Amino acid sequence: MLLDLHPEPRLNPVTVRTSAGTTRVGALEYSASFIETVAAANEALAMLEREEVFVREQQTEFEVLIHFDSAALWQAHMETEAQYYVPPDEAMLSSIDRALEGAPGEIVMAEWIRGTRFRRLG
Amino acid sequence: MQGSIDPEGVETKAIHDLADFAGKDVVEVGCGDGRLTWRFADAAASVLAFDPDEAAIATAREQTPPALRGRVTFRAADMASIDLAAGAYDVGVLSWSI
Repeated sequence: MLLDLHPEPRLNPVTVRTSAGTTRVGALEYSASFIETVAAANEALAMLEREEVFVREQQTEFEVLIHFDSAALWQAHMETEAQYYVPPDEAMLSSIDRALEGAPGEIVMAEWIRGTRFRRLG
Repeated sequence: MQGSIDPEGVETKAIHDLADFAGKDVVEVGCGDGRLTWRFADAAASVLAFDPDEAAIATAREQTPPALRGRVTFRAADMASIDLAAGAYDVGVLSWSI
């Protein structure tokens, strides 16, 4: 059995959660190079199916949330992951600052993951 | 990674809905620091997890719970350098690695 898990390049919503509520501050886009990488990965798996090496048995997509206790932690994460994302724009950064004004909170970003189970043939 | 990933447990539930790890010998490709490994290792009979990032592998080794040290092996390697015995594993996990 082969289990493949990889992000799907959808827009990833970013929200700020405080005691006052939840504010959507924008969405992150994946970089063009990462989108190409995911497309190539999906094509490689599809090729394994066409060549009857594996058969796809079950597939699902699910949303994973990543929580950051501060804007600084989130920005550090974005710098670490810079190759995967289009940098957040000033509008999003300003929205985050405004949402966190006067109230502690967390930044939450979502990622869509595709999970597929394959069974080896032969 | 400097955030808390999936404290809601959505990913853990999803991978256990997709695959039965109970008593299985598992090989994980692209394990990084073991983040995903911990989602299934306690169910598996054994896990060989590898990644070319030596720093991530060092972190994974340091963070291996004592109860899993006899069952989980982390190795710094990539697909070209790892030597995997054919048929030795019941489950292969491609962990965000393609």
